[in-house]
Amino acid sequence: MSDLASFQAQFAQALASTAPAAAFARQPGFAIYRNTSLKAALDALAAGYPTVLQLLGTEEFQRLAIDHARRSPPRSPVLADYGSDFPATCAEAAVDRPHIADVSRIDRFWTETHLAADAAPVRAETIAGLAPDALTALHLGLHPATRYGWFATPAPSIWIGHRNDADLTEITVDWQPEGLLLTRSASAVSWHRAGDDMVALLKAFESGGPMGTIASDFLSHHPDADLAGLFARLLEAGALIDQTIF
Amino acid sequence: METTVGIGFKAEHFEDAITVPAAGLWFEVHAENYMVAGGPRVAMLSALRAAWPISLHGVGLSIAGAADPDPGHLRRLRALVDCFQPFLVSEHLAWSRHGETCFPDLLPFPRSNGALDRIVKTIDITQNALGRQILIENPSLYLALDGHDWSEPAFLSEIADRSGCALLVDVNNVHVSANNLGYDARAYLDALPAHAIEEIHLAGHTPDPILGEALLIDSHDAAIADPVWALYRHLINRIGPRPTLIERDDNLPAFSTLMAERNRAAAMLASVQEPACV
Repeated sequence: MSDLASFQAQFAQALASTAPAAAFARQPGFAIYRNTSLKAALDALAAGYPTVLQLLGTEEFQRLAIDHARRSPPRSPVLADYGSDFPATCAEAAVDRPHIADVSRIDRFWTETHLAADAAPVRAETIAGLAPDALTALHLGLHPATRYGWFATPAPSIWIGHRNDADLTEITVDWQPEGLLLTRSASAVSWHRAGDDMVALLKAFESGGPMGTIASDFLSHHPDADLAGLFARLLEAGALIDQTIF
Repeated sequence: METTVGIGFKAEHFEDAITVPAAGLWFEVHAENYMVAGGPRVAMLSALRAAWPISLHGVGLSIAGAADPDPGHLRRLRALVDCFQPFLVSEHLAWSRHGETCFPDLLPFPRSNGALDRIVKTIDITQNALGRQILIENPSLYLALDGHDWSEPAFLSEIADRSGCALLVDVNNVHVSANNLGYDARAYLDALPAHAIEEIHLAGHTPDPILGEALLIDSHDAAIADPVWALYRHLINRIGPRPTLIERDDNLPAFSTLMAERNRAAAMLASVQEPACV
């Protein structure tokens, strides 16, 4: 091992340890390095999980974030994307409050939607202009920024409430499962409530296949669903892209 | 490009940044903030670039790491360079990665002969991957380490000679490090090779909450201090005008406050001549 490599191994170990053995770690300046790395990770988690921060309050969030940053430090210098596994930490820490982990998953959806690749969504006008057989042959898929989920808790209502009013501390919700869809235009993330039928349709588009097959499979499982209405809402939200290979 | 003064870009200042009427203004952005697939962040940088020249400042390549630079990171950096055509690309004389772990910081190391060889190789790899010269910035230092074979100015001078990279002199970092480690900031600046210096950084610092002035922190959260302005004057009097950046990352003031610091630096730049022979 080179002298540089052994120094860095020693330094990294000292940063991770509460009682480092290295002589340099006893200088007061070492605390600056320790604090800077940790603060950057904590700031990134606070920026990525603002709704969890609101729900838990600064003190509990900080405790959770420090625990997470120690166990799962950044593996990339791109901190905007740090903390993909923070929902697992939330789930562990708040087993008695399952909506916290669900809200953290939605915060993570927001980040992934915000940072995802650009792509032109399929527009309703394009679909309206298609002949029936062209429509059934169409292969539509999810836009890179589309994220959706079905939650055992009313986390979507809680999340939307906090996003819409940062001062809100008490939200009245019906304690029942809910779904949510997040999409992004060129400039902003938007969110849409989703019923179990819309979540099933999104899942079908995610699996892929021609539109005709997706529609008949979907209707066989959800005979009472308003397929045309759900499809129109997905187009309106910009959730889909055209993946047809000509 | 004319030698002028730029400002470190913050998203909070986006509206001001693209509308401010200021001849010669440019912005520096942290490369890692834009290493994302797409969306509003990238759109913002495109709009900024359409309005002004930009300089790309990396904080995560781990130039002084013991291992080869991460090929994925180099590819992402190259993509940004190709897309946004920065007039300068810079990184730090520091490391921030060990194995799989990244430290969001600029960490120190003993400036040994072995470290010199390794860093020159890393800069070579980086410049080849980017197809252009990079600038290397002196870090802020907080620890007295054993094992230095080189002073920092001699080390920077040697890596510039051997790799063909240029230097970015952060005058605030020189002030902070000289204060913390007890050396003379002017002597440090005078020992740097003038011809290799292609950019200067100016920023604010804060005293350590416990140790006070004995330990200064390169916090980028305050106005540029008077001793740093004096060192800047001293440096440009010797080497001539260089593109200069006002950096503020925390405790953000109004954009106009940064423009006032920018105009102060611009007036100092305008008052010095390019030396006939450096």
